[in-house]
Amino acid sequence: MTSDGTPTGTLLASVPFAWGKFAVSPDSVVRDGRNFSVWMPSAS
Amino acid sequence: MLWQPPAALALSAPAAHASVNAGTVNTTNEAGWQAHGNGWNFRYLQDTVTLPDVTGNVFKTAFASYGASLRLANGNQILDLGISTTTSSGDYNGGFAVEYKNLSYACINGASPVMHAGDTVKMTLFYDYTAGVAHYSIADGTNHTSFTGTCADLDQFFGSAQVVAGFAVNDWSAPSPAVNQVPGNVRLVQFRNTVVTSRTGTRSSIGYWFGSLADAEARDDQ
Repeated sequence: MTSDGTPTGTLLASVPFAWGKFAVSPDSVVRDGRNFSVWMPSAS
Repeated sequence: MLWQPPAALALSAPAAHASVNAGTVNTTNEAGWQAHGNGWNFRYLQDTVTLPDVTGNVFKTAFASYGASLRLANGNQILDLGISTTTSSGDYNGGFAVEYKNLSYACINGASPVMHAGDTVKMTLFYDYTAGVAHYSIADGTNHTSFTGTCADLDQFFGSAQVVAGFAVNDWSAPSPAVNQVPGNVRLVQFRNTVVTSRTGTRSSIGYWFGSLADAEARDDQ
């Protein structure tokens, strides 16, 4: 990372997250709004 | 670190690194999601969680305690806002701490009201880069209680923003005992309306999953 926070690398969207929605707001919030769950490891 | 009587609980160390092939970071102690990328820093995280009841036998056989956390992390320290419980009590407590890689802490705050299984809480973590101060909040929208605070932590940059559920006492260590498998598919917790803001408010679009091959597994909700 750079000291001033300026991105220098290519941003990639991983699977399954692909943050594509950008909500214009006073805070310039990067908004995904995505839901996800954490599941316990399954023995079956 | 997540603080609660009798056992403190937090999440374990991320294997955070940038990669041209964004994908899953395997872990043994947590599951969730992180934003990370070369040159990117982050200032804000938000999520909504309905606290699950984990006092049933299926969870008791899997772990003793767990926590849901928002984190802003770098290679030396983690701002950790969490809410945790045990399978014996089932009650939740919020907590905040700066957790350092050398296992020391700062800004420990465990003065949270008890929050209960079934409550829906909104968690927010914000780092003010100008002032060097972290602001955090867990608002219980069911019982209208809250846990809030600030922490002066000057001149930091946080290149990773993480939303995770984990089982370790410290973010930089592994859980003990290890998490056990459960029969069938059992959802532990759902994170809703995930929001992240980069330091400069710039759009970001990178993500990694934690832990899909080890302990718990994070899955997108369709």
